[in-house]
Amino acid sequence: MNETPMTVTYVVWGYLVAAALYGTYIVRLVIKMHRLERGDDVGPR
Amino acid sequence: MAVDADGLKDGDEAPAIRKPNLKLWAGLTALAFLIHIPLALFYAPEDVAQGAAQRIFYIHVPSAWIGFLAFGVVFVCSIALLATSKRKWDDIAAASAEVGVIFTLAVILTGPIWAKASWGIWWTWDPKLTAVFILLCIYLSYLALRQYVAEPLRRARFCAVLGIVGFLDIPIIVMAVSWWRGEHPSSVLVKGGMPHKDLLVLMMGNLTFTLLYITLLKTRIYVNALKRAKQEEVAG
Repeated sequence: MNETPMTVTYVVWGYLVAAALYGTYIVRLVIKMHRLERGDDVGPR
Repeated sequence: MAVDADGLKDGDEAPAIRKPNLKLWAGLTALAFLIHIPLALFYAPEDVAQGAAQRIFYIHVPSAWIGFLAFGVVFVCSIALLATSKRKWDDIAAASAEVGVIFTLAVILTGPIWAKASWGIWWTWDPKLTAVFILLCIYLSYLALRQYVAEPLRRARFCAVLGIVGFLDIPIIVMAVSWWRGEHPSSVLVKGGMPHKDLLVLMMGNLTFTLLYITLLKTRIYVNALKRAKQEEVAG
């Protein structure tokens, strides 16, 4: 397969999707940590 | 050895919650990503057959390997938990399973994008892809089981058994292409013989994602410890 703009688009999407997944998890974890450190969140087990 | 009211052993002293040096680990991880991403996008040579699409390999494969490492940690800690009933093994296993699910989700999400660019299809029930999908389902079940069993010792033991059995899927994933063929390329572990530059970027990817795993694991263990302390405080 030759490099086409479409192929590059898939690469960009691949990296963006991975960044969104890891980024969302990290942000949620950090928010939870700060809430627990402040003592205002128990949450589920 | 102190045995808590919930049946799990805490060790010789009462557990103190120590905050890990997350700034250091997060900084190292960010630095590694700042090196790895340009290497993967610009330094690694273009694949003759696949063109630019092959660059997804440098996030897809390290995510898969570190997902396997995370479930390997669950496997070892589960055996240790069943042997000793120590809480720390359950804590590490629980955190590692959750982080492993995130890495495996990254594999499941980036794989189809690479497949669409290379094979022209998003997904096929190829043996390797199916085995990875089953792995994800097993560890999602592991996380669900943690929510549904209330008694801590029973929860830890049930999850340990699932963590051990679930790990058996990983050798199947690694060997799937050799055993059953299919669309997916062979594992680079099995195939070997990668060009020097590709191998260098892949190793940098493995280092980067290992640092990410350690950072997330330490954070998750700390968050779980804070949560348990808060729940015990509320329960009186």
